[in-house]
Amino acid sequence: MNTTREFTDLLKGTRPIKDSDGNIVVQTIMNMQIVGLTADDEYSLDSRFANPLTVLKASNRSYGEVTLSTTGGKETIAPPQMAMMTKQRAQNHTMMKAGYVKNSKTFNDAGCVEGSQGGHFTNVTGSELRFVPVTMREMLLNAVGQTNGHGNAYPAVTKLGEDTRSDAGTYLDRYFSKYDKKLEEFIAHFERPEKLIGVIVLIDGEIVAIDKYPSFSYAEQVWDLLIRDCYGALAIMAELKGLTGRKSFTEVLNSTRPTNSTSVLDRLETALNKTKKKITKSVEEKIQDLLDMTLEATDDADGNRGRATSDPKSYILKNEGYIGQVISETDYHHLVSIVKKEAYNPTALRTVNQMKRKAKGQDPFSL
Amino acid sequence: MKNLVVTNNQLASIKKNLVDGLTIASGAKSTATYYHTRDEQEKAIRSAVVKLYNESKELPLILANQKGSTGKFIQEVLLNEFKSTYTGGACNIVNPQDWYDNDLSDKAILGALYNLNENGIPYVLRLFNDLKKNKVNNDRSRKIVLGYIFGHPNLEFNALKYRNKIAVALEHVYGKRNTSILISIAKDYLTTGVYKNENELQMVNSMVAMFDGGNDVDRALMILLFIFKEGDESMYGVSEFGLLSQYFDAKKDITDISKVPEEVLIGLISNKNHPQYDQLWSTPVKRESTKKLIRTKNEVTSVNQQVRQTKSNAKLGVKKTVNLEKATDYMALYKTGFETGFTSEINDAIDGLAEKKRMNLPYNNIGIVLDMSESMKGHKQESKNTPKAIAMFTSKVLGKSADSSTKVTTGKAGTDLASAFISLMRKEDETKPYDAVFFLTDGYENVYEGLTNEVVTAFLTETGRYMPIFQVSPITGAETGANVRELGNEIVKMAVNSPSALIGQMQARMLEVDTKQWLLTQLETLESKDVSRYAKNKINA
Repeated sequence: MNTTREFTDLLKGTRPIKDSDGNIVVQTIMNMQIVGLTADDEYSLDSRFANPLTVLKASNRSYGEVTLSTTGGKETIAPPQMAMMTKQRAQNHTMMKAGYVKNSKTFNDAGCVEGSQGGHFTNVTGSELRFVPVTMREMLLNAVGQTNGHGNAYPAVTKLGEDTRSDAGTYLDRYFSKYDKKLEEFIAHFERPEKLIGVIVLIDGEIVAIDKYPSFSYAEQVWDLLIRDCYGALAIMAELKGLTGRKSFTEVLNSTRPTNSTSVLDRLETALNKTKKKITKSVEEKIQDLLDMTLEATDDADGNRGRATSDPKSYILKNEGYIGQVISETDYHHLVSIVKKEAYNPTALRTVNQMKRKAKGQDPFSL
Repeated sequence: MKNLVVTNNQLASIKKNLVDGLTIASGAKSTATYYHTRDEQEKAIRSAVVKLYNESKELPLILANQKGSTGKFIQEVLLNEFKSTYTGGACNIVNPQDWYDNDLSDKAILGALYNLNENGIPYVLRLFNDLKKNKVNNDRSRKIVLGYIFGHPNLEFNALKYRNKIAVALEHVYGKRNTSILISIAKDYLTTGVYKNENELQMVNSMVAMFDGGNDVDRALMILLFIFKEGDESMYGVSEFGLLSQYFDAKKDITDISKVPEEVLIGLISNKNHPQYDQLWSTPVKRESTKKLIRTKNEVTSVNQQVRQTKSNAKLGVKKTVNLEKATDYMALYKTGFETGFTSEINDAIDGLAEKKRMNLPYNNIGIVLDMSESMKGHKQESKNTPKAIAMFTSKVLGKSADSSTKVTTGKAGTDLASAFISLMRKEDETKPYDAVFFLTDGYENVYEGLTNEVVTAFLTETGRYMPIFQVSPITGAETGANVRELGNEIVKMAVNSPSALIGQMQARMLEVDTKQWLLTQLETLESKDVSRYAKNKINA
């Protein structure tokens, strides 16, 4: 059954983290920016879901499926697109999506990420659980529900290999092997603010990914992997393209004329604040563009199969520019994961939104 | 010492290698850190040492004598020195006559060994064990090993705590056959009181007596037998061997033992053949209560170790008063503070220790920006809060070392060093302008990379001030220049793992100004060292 979800509804209860001056805290490296989302304590379900990286065990009995299980009847949500990169004599697989797990759950639309390697894995845990790069998400989400065969993820891995010049072919481990050290260093670039519950990622000033998690502790648990495995690919691609950050402060400082009445420190502080406000404003504008966005939500049949009525449900979200997933319990959204479609130009959305706003502002026809 | 023989042509290359070497010497450890695996670090150290040695053989030893050089670096330098022959390698800085004939070489080696000992006995023993792994056994290395082991004032304790490591080192330098002969001579002599012939006496003299600093040879032989598990219990009376006698008691009953190290006792009781194994160690519950008993009774745990045990003591329910004022390991104090809370006693101990570690800073008034952001907590690869502790303690020591200091810390939400710098400069007392500013940070800015450098550059340009600005990074670097995140060109970066390394790093800056003078000063310091090849008991362990 298809329904729609408003973007504002999906992220309800959260807000961007701001500094004491009211500026959105934006962390930047090269052409990549990260904005943290926080929420009131009551909307962080810290005791509800177990740490997915310690409680989940992944196994499979046939290619193209992944069974996730938890110990002791605990419930958790497997983070979006988690991959099993095992040293066992087995074929590495990836999930196409996030998934609610209590006791045990088999996902039949998983995909192989290790070409011709054969064999099934048992009880893959801990450091053998990785996140796939965010740039693969669109193609993986498009393959959700495809339960025939096990090649769902190959096109995405191949494209990653091309984008990152890692010659991955159909082997995701080649990408990780090539860039693991760089990715490890990448973790330190970003701070995880306290009470973080979600993240908005921008590339070249455009929002490319949004993730919202069930709780502060869940976000803390997946933070390193999220930055290293998932978003790290964006930085690698930026570096390969030779992209660097702008000297925004110097630009602002040079554009203000020194006066006799202001001290050097006043001038610098003013320029610094202006720089931060400029960064904040540009991010605010981009988020503003999404506020009117609506996504079509399709029942994730494979993800919801065998669920009790009261269990959280999974939906795949799509519109012309974005694709994602939400795991909701009635109207409460535990996990939201949205990425921009690569071919999509957000300025088109901006025009649509402008027209929508104009339309909303029009008075009804009357005499 | 006569003048240096180094030529001006060589100086440029020596300078570069020395600066790189100092960075590695004061930063790299053998343990994995945030960014580098243990292997990478070890390779980096090895390669730096070889590079320095190839430049001139004095260079690695000069660096190994610097306060703040890490144990791993000193180990590699000494290992490299012993691998080469006495006259191997080129002496390009000092006249070879000074180096070899006037004992500078010996002083440099012993000075480095003393420095290594400051890092802890395990570092020295690891070096001795590395000699075996690398099949290094020559006259110089042999004398160093034997002098250190037998000349040590705590020989009995060391024999108990590091028995196997010492046995490996001794067997390596003596050789298997000679070890066996020596043990046999010792046994006979200690039973009969006489040597069978002149050869036996000479062997004991050349293998033990000449290294025990003129102490009691009989006692040294008894300890030797203990080390090789050949000693009879009856040899070790309570009055002469307070520790070893307890060790033999503990083999039967551990419940009233106070002078045997905890690890040794656990080793004994966890052996299924121990008579009390079933009673005290056979189940997890019994283990916990036995550990509690051992720890409560133990009197030979060092203060630093006791500090580190605070958390586990609380878990075991052991109540022990630790004299924190005697702690010399700042990291232990900080780690305990992070784990169990910074009590006023811990804060006082840290403060006292920082006072003791005061440095000879060339600046009177300093400004400090301390990065307290989340990334300073470190990473799972290294123990939690290590970078933070290094930075916090360094800031304290810096503060104590200057006449006046002002400190500004960044918030937890992100690394905004630029705003912190402006706040710091606003707090500057006009009558006491800062002579230097120190950023204690991992170098990862969050607003955007390079912002701090832009702000600092603008400040220096617009004010026309000359003010050295240092970035002190608590993250160790495996390869010089490549891994400490630079804040920018205007800021001199240094990688340190303790405040004492800071001086070495500053010296690196000074040697950039006048390399020849720096070398001369170092060599004169070496020359004045009060060390001797045969009287190793001066090693203050």
